[in-house]
Amino acid sequence: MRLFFFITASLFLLCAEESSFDLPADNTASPGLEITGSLESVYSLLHMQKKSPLYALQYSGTGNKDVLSSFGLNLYLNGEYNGKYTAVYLKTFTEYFYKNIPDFAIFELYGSFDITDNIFLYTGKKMFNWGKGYAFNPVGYINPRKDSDNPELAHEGKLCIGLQFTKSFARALDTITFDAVILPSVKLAKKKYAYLEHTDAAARFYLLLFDTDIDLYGYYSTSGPLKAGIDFSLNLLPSLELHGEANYFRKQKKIIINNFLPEEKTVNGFSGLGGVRFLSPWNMTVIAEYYHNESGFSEDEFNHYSRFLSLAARQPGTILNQAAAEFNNSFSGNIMRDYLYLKITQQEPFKMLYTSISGYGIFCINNQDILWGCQISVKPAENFELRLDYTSTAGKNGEFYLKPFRNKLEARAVFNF
Amino acid sequence: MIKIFILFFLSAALYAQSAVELLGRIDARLSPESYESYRKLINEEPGGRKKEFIFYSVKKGRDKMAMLYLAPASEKGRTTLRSGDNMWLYIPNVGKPVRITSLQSITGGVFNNADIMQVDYAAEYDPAMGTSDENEYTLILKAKNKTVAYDKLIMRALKKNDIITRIECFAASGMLIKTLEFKEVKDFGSGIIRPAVIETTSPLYQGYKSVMIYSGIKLRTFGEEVFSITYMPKLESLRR
Repeated sequence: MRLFFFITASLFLLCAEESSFDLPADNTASPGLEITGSLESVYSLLHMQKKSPLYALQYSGTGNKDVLSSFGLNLYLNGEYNGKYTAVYLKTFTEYFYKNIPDFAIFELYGSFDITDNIFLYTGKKMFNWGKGYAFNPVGYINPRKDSDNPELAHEGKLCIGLQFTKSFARALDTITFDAVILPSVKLAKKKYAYLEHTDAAARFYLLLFDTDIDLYGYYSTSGPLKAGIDFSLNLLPSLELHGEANYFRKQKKIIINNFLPEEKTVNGFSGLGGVRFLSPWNMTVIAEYYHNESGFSEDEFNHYSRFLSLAARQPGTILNQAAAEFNNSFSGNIMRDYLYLKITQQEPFKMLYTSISGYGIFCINNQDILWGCQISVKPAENFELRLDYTSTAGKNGEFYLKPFRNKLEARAVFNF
Repeated sequence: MIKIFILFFLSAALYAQSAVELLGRIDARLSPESYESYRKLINEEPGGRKKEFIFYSVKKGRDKMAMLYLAPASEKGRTTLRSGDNMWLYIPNVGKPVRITSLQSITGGVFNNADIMQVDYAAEYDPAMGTSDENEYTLILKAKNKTVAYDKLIMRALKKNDIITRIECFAASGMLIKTLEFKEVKDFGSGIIRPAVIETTSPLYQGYKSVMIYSGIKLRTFGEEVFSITYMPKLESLRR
């Protein structure tokens, strides 16, 4: 009888619906420190493009093999301290390859102080992400460099002091925010001391007006470029978002190749972006963007650049070879003038929960070459993800043709904690 | 004849008035004017596998809600914000809020963003009286505009205390998209008595079920600035 009662009670408990849960342990009124992060184990195969001058410049010591492999660990370790009025944020990145000393970088380390309920002061190293574009951000004046083939990757922030003021209203003008930032000039990079004028200032004024996000931007530098810009984002339909950015710049630094030597000049002009994000009824997201940058290379300038790299690649160990490698490293983002970007993501294809597949392509309109890739991501268990990325280039004489690899396959296991 | 017309319009106006009043009472029961709460969301698959999320959420007025992911670790620190028809998602690694839509599901499973960040029903729907029986009455809710997740809702609530028991959600085509069942009425204190569990199933996701469990609902006032996109990275500070 007791056994029957025990079995019945156990079955009842097993079948009972969960109707409450314990509140998270860190729900306290006291300040708290939290450590989070992720560990990525990455195995890569690279099908090298040995005709590319960048292959000769960057991979000259790898033994002239068609396929190279790489095994590495990436550790993203983040800390956050939240007090009542103060908070400190830390984001670090450590990259480790077999038998090498790990590369450690502080992506973010800054503190914030709530002066009032709607005025915040922050200082330290902070990552900004200004602009509404997904793959490109012409108004991202103080953003870190963005990889168009992986725009969501975290990057290193900038040293700065900033003040943010926010005010909300219950009307058509819903919210305004003013963000003022002081930061060292690009010319101060890697130096401890510099002239007073090597201090730059950036500002952003945000409005949520008639259900549209609008930002106005400005960047002032006595030793660098002057920039002013605007962006917007709104939902035209419940499943269709439209966004755009426009940037006017003066005294923008541009390096071109003249007679096989780098030559620096300043240019004035415009860069801009227009894009849409669409969600289909079957949960497919499509992002399409067009990007134009007047400070990018013309086809003629690109040909000079390409010939310069080729000449330098044929002369290993020379000053020209070193100069070409450094010159190439100085570029950030895409170097030409006009690009089209398309990304399609399908969540839970064929009703496979916690799985997503995506494909993307960046097409350079100026020289008709393309960088494209696809990804499959599976999350078989909580806080664990398996991901496979394939990237390839196609074209004959363009920017992506210069890349040192033709195909790349990356398999990664991600553990979150 | 004129008297009959006047009588007809008056009774129609009163009819609509009572539906509006009832929906107001249902909303007041379901979510106080300004409060904070913790929620657990469980997505169940046909094979029995489960995926769980824990959120801290705050709400103000009829149509403002912000939400912070506390678990799992892979999603921790993400925040979502809703202000009227506008919704944004903030991912710490990306570092900026991006617009999302009510039809998307940031958690996967049967609940979509509109279900998870549900604001007052009166903010999104115009009600009309439906049928009623001895214990329950029915309201038929029609979306105020096309940005609302569902075109029509059929909502049932208890007559004795206006506590909601069931909602059927329909697309503009008339197709039943999902059913929400409200269960386990619980006293959270400060006069907040409401269902602690919402279960949803959908004919579009045969065999799947999503459950949302409420805990720690407390009355609390917030500044308007909390419901702005610039506050999204700082939502954790509200828990201190």
